[in-house]
Amino acid sequence: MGAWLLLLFLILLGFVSARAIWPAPRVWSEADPLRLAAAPLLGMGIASGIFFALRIVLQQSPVAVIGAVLATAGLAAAVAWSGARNANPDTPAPRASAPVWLWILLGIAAAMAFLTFLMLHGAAPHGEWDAWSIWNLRARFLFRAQEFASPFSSVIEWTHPDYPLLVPGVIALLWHASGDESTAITGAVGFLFVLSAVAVPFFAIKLLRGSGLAVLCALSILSATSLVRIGASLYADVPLAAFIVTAGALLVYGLETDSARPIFLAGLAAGFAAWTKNEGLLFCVSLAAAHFLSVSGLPDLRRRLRYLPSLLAGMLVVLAIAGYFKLRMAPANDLVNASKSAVFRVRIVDFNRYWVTFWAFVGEFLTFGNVLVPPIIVFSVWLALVRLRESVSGAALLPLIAITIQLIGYFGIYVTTPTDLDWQLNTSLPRLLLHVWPLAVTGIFLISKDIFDPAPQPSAPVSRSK
Amino acid sequence: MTPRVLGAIVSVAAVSLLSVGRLFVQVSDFYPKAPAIDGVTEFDRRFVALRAMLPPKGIIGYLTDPGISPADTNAQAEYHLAQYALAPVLVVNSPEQRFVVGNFHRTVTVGSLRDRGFKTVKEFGNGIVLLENEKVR
Repeated sequence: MGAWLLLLFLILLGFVSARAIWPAPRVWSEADPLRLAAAPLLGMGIASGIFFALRIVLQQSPVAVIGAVLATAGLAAAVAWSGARNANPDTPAPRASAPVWLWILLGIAAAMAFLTFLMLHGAAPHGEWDAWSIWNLRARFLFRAQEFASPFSSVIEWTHPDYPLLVPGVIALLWHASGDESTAITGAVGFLFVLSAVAVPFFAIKLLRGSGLAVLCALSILSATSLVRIGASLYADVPLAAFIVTAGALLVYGLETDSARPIFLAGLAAGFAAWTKNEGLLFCVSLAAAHFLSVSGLPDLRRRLRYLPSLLAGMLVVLAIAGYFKLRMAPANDLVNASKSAVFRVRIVDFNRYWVTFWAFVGEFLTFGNVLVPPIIVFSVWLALVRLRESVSGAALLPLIAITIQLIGYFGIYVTTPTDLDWQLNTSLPRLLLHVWPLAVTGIFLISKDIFDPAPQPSAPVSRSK
Repeated sequence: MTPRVLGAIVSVAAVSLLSVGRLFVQVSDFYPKAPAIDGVTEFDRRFVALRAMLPPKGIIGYLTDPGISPADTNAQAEYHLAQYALAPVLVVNSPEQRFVVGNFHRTVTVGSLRDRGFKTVKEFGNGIVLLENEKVR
């Protein structure tokens, strides 16, 4: 079977899995575009988990792995089909619509972003430095090796053999399907991650706040051109950003529509974030913490406690795979190793490191993503002009709380990093901020007043005068 | 739609469109001038014959032109690319292995290598040589 056909099957696997977990009536349903936008991520995540378990741990043949992926898709489709019989229709989207000229602007921006991706990938089909020294290198090891000790050997510690395997695993699986190391397929996988990082928040905002704010949300995410540039470089930072925004958006959707099913999917996406890059582990903690820190009262707290098992169950399914890899196969992480030393205690009380890191964050906030005007200014102006929603619920604040926790975590990692701090900040900070960019933009549009809604929002109840 | 709201929409849309457009113009300008075959593919091809000769697992050393600092960015990139080309064999950035891959850009004579304790096993052209370190037998 060709790699392209298998890639299509992976998208189908993601879609039917989303429908199996979060059912909808058989006909095309209101939230199906959101399920479809998340499908490449879910499909590739599930397939890489199967590849890891069967090929790397149990040493089964590639044909058996591909067979298992297809069987899983068949099983998920059967569950989705039977679940559709009694499924309630999806919550209808708000009726607010965007003017045609705004759709045209989004179309132009998306077309330019797509062509830019094609040209960048055409000029560097193997990706940039981290792609061929970490991610695609690991994929080559997994594709070419007949045993799976060498790929994780500490002899090549500079390749970070402890890094999780979602991206290399899915690339190796697709290469097995084609029988060669096609760079076109790695490019297609890279493109799907960029696409989902924009499409998932677009459809989530469309369902929750209407198409006008959704179009502006997608335009804003695309304005950080590093998303396309780093996506075409085939680094794992864009896949991580895609999983982070999917987890955050589905969690908000589940909370705002009072539905546990999308929350399980949110947990699954957060788990896949941890299976993509080590920073995803921190995100699982950030998301679970934000789930509670964004409560808006005691009844809301009870609701959050009710939904917590769904969120954690989704996460734990994937974290079990990541945990097995970390504990049984991968050497210890270089940063974690170094943090055990006495030097760690010296670094944590060195206030100069806090100062340097703080100013690096400020600088990056002002120049992030090659946006023409610093995003912090754009969104300050935006919120000043359109104002906040009249009733900003706790769930709407969740994405911004989650990314704040994530950024505090990144700050702490920089302060204690064993490597040269300036070098570490210069080489990684723009990519780390990109991880949270799509979710940050989604958070801004979730709390913005719906300026496209023709009907006025209901005002808060006025207490009766005594 | 009030002028204030319209202003907010136009500013967000304009910043996005101009940012995406600027990168598009920069890349469109650079892309036609990019080499037909990218550097990584070209580098990879130099190692194809050597890779075919290597076993499916094992460790091999790495040696490049004398006088190049290990901290040199280009030298580091070439070492990483050599590992990318030769996976799943592990390539260590040291000649202290029985078999060593030589990646040379300057002419190196068999005699000078022999003086350093290396026997030439096979030359593959384009500066790629498989060596045997006679001190590590």
